[in-house]
Amino acid sequence: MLEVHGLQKKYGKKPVLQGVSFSVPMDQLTCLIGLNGEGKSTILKAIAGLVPVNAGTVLVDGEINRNKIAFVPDIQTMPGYMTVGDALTYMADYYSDWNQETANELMRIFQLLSTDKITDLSKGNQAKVSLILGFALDRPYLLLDEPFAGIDLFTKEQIAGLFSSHFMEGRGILMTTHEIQEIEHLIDRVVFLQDGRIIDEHETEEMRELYGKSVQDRMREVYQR
Amino acid sequence: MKQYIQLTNEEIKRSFKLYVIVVLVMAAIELVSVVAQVMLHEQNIKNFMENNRATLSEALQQIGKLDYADTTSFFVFMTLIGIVFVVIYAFQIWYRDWLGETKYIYRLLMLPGRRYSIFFSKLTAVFLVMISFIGLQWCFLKAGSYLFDWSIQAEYQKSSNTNIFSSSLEEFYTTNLTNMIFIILISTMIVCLIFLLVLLERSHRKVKGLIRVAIETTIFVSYAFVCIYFLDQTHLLLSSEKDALFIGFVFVYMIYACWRSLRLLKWKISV
Repeated sequence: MLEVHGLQKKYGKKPVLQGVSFSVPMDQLTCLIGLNGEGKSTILKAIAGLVPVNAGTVLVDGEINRNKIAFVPDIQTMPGYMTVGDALTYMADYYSDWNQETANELMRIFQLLSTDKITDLSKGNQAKVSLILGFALDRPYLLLDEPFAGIDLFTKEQIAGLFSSHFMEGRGILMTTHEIQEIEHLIDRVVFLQDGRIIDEHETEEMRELYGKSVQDRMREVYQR
Repeated sequence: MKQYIQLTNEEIKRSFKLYVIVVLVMAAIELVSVVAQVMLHEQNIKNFMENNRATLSEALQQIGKLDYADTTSFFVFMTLIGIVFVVIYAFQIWYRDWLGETKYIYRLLMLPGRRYSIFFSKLTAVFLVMISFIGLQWCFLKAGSYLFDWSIQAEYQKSSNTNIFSSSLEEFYTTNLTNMIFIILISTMIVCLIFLLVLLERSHRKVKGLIRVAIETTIFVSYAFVCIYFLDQTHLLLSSEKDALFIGFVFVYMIYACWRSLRLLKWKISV
């Protein structure tokens, strides 16, 4: 289990995270939900070690070990001159836990060509490349920051398909997204964030029973208050 | 070590096209300028002869003969451009990862292992560019001198002049090994300072970042002033001992700048 304990983060004097604690169980898709500017991306970056925090710890299976976490940001992170093939080679060179078979399989599913230059790809295909770079690392926890932002419905469905496939086996996924409706049936757990605090955290089924609402409706209720 | 070599290779690959373009442009301007100055000199002599109905020896006496050092003014100019290029590259090698078309800094900071290889790979890349600039300028200077000998008529050329450097070029292209080591060390120290300033700004951002940059610059200037003043005022040391001490001072600052930069990279930096 990935456990986040008491994360605090300030940008200047402004507190962004005020003691955020939650957990991401193995073999589940946990969705971190909040409005823009609530600190969702900051939480993912803090877990991945890309943003220093003022307080708090991140434990992976009881220990501090970031090598068990893969992070897929919502932006392109490979140098502009690289082709998709170069990016896969880059990952294979640097990561001992890189799984080329998974990468090849995902390349086939997403119908990407290794000769394509990443920056010339459409936003949807760039998102697919980022997901390949995340999923092909043999790491038990995967953080996805807005994987559906700005991409078409067909690509969304293709990406959502990953969450119900064998690629999910032996993984715990923490994802931020505003596109709840399309993937609501796949989400196992939701964590609601407001003003830098966790205000609600439930298994999806448990939440539906408790409030009699879908995640989308519960989200509307929470943030319209 | 493997990661450091791979990252260095990556950094060089990313800037190689720009580097080649800059070097080719520099070489072209420098070599063309030698031929152009020889032609200009010949033209001046011809004009003088025509206008004053003078003989060649009178014209040469009046205008003077040309030696290679007289035609290397563009080499000084290009060397200064090269220095500016290296300084810009030292900033750009970091900032492009945050502000470029893709955010490569995410990838770098997420790499497995310790982050010092990121710092030293970038430092090595800048160092190699700097050293290769110096080396290539030596080659261009030598090539320029052959071009000069080939393009000038014998009677227009000052004889028995083996010096290929003008006095201002000698400041940069010294034949003294100690001076060469000084130039390389000081340049590397300045690159380390630039790296530290960039990492301070990227760690603290905005006003706080600028204040930290100002404080660090003040520390550097004060340190440099104290060291130079000490070396200038002390009469107890031999010249060679002063040189060794100067090298020591430069090393101390480089170690300090690297140590602080690595701490920032480990604890404070953010994407």
